[in-house]
Amino acid sequence: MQSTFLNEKSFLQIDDTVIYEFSNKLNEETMIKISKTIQSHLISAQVHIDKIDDIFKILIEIMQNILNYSYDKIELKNNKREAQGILIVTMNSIENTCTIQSSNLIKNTKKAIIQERLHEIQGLNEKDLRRLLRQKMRAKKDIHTKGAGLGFIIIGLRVVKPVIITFTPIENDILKYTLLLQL
Amino acid sequence: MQSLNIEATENSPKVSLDFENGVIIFEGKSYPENTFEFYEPISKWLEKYFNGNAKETTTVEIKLSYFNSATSQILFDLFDIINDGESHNLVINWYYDASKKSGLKDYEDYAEEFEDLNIKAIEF
Repeated sequence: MQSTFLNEKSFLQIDDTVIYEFSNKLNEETMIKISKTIQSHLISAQVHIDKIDDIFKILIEIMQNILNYSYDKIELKNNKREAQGILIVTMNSIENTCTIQSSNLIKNTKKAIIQERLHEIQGLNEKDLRRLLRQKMRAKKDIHTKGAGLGFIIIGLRVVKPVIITFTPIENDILKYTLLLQL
Repeated sequence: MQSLNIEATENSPKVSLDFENGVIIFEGKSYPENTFEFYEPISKWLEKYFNGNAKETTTVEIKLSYFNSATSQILFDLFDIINDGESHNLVINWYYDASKKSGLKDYEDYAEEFEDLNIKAIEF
């Protein structure tokens, strides 16, 4: 089942054309390369700077979450990590909308944490999200060695439709976690 | 107390903590994989500097074109250190890209939270 997951493709599509296909193997080096390449393709397609900025920020948050929380992550040298994650970025240049779908494997125990983080931001407007961001930064409650637990708020500040998450059982206590965003 | 300088990389900022001149600069992008680890020596330096070692005038320049959510937390913590520490004449400049809608909003979060620091917004 896991091998089926690994065969899925990661790509950037602008309108009807797949512009850039990239590896599902995420680590610090590939993260930098993927985000910079997507940014550069979007600039070439004359996507508005604010949209490019939002896409870049969200991709970084998603990829860092994949590295931090994936079931299949492996430890590399210097406290770095590598994990498998599928990213599908679809830009509609006429409507100036972008859909980002990411999938990675997680342990069943992570499901409740993700649902709780999503629940915190659901229905909040920008002002409330910024208030929550400041409140969380002040409380420092969700800080761990790799993050501050603020990623969903950063995402919530940039999406135009509610965030959709799904969990598909893969095997034993492993789930495929899919995040779907529109910005 | 010695100065501390860190060169910029693709995903981490140039950091210049100049003790002699009392000038502190963060410049570039900030999304290192181990963000907290990256900023640990910087936090320690700032704690020492603002606990009895601050120069007559201290200038802090924040010129971050992009930062991840972990860096948002770090910046909050750094402002906390400055706010709780001792300084004489303190100037904090937050540089933002006026062509991006989020540029000023990030500034506002910190400026409102740390009102006493009188953080100034300056266009890139």
